[in-house]
Amino acid sequence: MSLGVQVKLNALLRKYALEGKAEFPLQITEGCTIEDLIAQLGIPPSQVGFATVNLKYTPRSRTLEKGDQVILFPPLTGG
Amino acid sequence: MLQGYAGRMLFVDLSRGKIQEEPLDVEMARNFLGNYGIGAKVIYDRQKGHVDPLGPENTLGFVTGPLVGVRVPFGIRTVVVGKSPLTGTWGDTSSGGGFARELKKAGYDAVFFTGISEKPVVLWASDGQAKLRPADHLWRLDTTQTEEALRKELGDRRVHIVSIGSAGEKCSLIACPIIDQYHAPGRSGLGAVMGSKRLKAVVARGTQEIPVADGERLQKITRQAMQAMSAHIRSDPPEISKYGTCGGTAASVFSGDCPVKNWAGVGEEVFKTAERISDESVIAYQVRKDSCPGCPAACNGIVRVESGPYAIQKAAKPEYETLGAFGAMLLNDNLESIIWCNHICDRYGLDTISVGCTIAFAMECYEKGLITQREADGLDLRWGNHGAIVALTEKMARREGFGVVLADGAKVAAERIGRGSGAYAMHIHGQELPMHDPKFAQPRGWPLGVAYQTDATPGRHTVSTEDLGRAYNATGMCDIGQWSFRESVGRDKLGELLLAVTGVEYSPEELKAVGGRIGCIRQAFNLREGFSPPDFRMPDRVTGHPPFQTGPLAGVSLDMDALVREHFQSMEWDPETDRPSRELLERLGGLEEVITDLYGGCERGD
Repeated sequence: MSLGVQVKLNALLRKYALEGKAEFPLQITEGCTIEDLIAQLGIPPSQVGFATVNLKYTPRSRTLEKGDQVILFPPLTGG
Repeated sequence: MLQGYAGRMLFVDLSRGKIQEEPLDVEMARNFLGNYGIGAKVIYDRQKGHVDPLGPENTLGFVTGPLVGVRVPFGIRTVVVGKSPLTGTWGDTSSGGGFARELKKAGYDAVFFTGISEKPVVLWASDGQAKLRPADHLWRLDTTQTEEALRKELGDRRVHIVSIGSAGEKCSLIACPIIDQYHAPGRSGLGAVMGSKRLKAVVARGTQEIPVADGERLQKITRQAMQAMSAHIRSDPPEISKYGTCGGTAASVFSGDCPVKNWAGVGEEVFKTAERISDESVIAYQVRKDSCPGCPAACNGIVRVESGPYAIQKAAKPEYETLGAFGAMLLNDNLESIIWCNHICDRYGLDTISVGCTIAFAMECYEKGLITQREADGLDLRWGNHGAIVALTEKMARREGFGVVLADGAKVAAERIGRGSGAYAMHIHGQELPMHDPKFAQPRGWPLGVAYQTDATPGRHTVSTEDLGRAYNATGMCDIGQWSFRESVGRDKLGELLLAVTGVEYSPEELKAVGGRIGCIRQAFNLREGFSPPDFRMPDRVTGHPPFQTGPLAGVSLDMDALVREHFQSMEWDPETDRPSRELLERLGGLEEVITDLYGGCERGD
């Protein structure tokens, strides 16, 4: 069974955006984790620093649910 | 003698115009490695407590480390040390550029200044000789003009220079020295100390090779390290080699890492247009990459603004901290104005973090009705008004009009303005906070809240709260190099590198002891000044009291008392008094003066 989630790719991850849009709906399979979603989008895992689901920081092992809003961030730098 | 060091230090008494050369104390170098380690040891031993930071007794040091000038990639850091006029505490600040390498090749591991010169002077250190030169003709020149004049009169384009602009000359408490035009050891207000001493610049030129213990082994290690590190800095995110530190600005804003609107807001909700001052938007202005000497990452860049009110042919690419302070903190997405403000700060010698944060303070005061447009010289200090931001930066740099009120940072500005404005001055012990929110970092294992509040230099983000991290910092390797080395070569491999350079075998435990000594002696400096734990507190807004209701940091509050207590206990420091335990000091060794001062009936100090 597939579920619909909303994905947003932040900053330097925009280059992996589908059809050039940083924010897009995505169909995933039931039981899909954030880690699986990163793989589905073809993003090397090291390119992702952290993720939020529904604006809360969460580990990549979290299983996604229908309607979740996922935001992926690249690793951060200092200055 | 230890290898990997120039083997000599300079002590300059500016009141008497005397220069004294001393051999590097080998035991000190083994115990404290270099940079802020040696800087803290020298100043702690030779300076009494409670001196006026802008008076003749304050010692100002420029210190290198053992990995500087020995062909170790990223070994370029200059550390500036002294009692900070901004915080009244121990102050250290560091930067890239070519000065440290050149000073070492000129024959000196460090140079320390005391006294006050009657007239402006420059110290010229070249191949084993040092002398003071008159600098009346350079006073009032900006840092770029000063460098150009010095290169011309010395007839050598290859000199490396640390100088101050008029902000330092006028002892602005947020003034900093500038190295090689674009590199700012920005924190702690040590540019004001240079100005107070009438020390316009230090110039170095050297051709001597620094001896290393095992050149062949060093070459092998550095080659292997570079292979491992090059993928890391070139292609792994955040793509330091491509963007420098500006690559993560938008991500930092959206994630809650970067403070927004004087720390009163957070995330995309408040600053939607952060991408206009981040990554591709910034390098669109870049005309060429730039680097510290011999650096493979080349994280710096030269930018050009072709036209408009902020047109400029050549300026430094703004770093992340500058983009945060002049951008997110002020809700300013006009990148060209940020490039201009960065340029002004480089020319006049000002810390971009402190200037941006002080303007954020002024904008919030204006919003709250504590400052009128008339008091602000007619400027409309609305959030995001880039014209007013630029005008205020220039006024602060020149110490003119309303800039006089702001030129010594947010804490002093709040004291001058009164009317309850102190509630909007976001600083710790006088130092404006850097562009990383501890509410974001601390829960993710990056203990910035603890660092801001417990490091001897309050409010610094490029410091380590761990002993091994302090040892890394003392080598002279820059932050990007340290990070890449730890990630791609291995955090326990530093000992191998130091063995090849110095000939000294540092076990992981010994490196931690080096870091432990550095932490303790800097702490002892502050204790001697009479500071205690309650003196160091971040504003409630910064620690999340009350927490944000929305955004990525919603509901996050830091219990700083508990975090600091836990940190001190892990360090074997007393959480009530801040004192490192006697047992710890004895076990670390090399801290006899500190033990005497803290536990043995001190006769030194005040």
